[in-house]
Amino acid sequence: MNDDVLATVIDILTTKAGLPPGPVTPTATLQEAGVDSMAAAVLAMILEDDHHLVITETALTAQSTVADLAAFIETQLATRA
Amino acid sequence: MTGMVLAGLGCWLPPTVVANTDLMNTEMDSFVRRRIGVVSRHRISQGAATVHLAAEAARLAMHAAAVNAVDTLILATTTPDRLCPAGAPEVASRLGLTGIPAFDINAGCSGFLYALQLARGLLATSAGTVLVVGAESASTMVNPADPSTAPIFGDGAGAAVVRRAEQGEDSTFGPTAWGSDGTLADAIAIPAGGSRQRVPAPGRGDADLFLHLRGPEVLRNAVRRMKSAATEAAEAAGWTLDDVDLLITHQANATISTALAAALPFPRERMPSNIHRVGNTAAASVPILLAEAAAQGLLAQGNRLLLTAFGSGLSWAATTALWPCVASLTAYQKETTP
Repeated sequence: MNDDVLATVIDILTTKAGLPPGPVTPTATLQEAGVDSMAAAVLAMILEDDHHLVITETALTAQSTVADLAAFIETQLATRA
Repeated sequence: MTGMVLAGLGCWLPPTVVANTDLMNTEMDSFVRRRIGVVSRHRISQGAATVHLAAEAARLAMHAAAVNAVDTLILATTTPDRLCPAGAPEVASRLGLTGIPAFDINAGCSGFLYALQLARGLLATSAGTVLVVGAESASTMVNPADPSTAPIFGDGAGAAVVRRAEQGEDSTFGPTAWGSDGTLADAIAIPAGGSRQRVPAPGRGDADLFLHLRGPEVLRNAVRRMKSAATEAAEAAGWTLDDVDLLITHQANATISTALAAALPFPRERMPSNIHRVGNTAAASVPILLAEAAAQGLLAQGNRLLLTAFGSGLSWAATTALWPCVASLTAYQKETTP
């Protein structure tokens, strides 16, 4: 998995969505990381606005760990139209 | 463009303070503190409502402006005492101003900035002074049993006296960028009580009489619209965001403010905030924050302020302000700030 995508996802969740950074680790589940509907909305917004990638909050929060979330986004980026 | 000078500010928060711990368990309290940013909020007392809050704040603003009359009064609110009549005439009468033109506007949480823009038009045509009030009994529009809205909102009012600028005098307020999107009208809505649906639908109990909020959709639109409006207003004033001393935003929730700071980008430390103590007071949010920041000496003459708000409708607005030497009176701070 591309470390840059993982780092970007963690950065968005912490500095831009305001989640406390400590729990947001690659192996943490989204619940352990504190990813709530607001954080998912901020992530979806930034993916759309800055990376032209439209993913619903539902699809994002269906992932189990932060690493899985990053891998899922990486796959979507790769197959982006 | 007619110059509009800020002559006085006031804000009034009802004495009753409701802490998170009065409303919710420890786990919810922790979440609301961290993610919404609210620790306590003020609550109107039984029998009082928005007209009462507005009159108290307006009285303080007039005192701060050292005026005992104004030509016109605009009340921005989402929670009028009654559907009919508007509250502004009653506010004017309580101030001893029976007879002046007085009207309400509803642009949700953008209401105060919308009202300022209307005031500018009035100052260019029919008025020398306008009293612009943002007041909300926001606690009355939320369902106490709905965790997605109940903890967020608070009650209060902020008011500003504005007057036409003299020849050659600096205008306090600069260009305004504002807009709306009715295709998302249902994202923030109280379904029942108006002409479309007078009473709650069968089987829905009284849920339709309270605010419904589509959180993620509102968050995305709030950040995008406040960012574009703020950027547009600053550019129209010939400012870059680096030129802006302080960004005064509608206190919607802490996560929206954090995301907006990242999106602009703008330093979070130059975004005054009082949401932890007053909650989201809708149309009263910007004037309360301005009045408190001025009364606390956070705003210096010559500061460049960028004001931005977003609310139901959907609606948004932003404007610039070159801070004047102005007095601001808050209910719990008797002395004025020179």
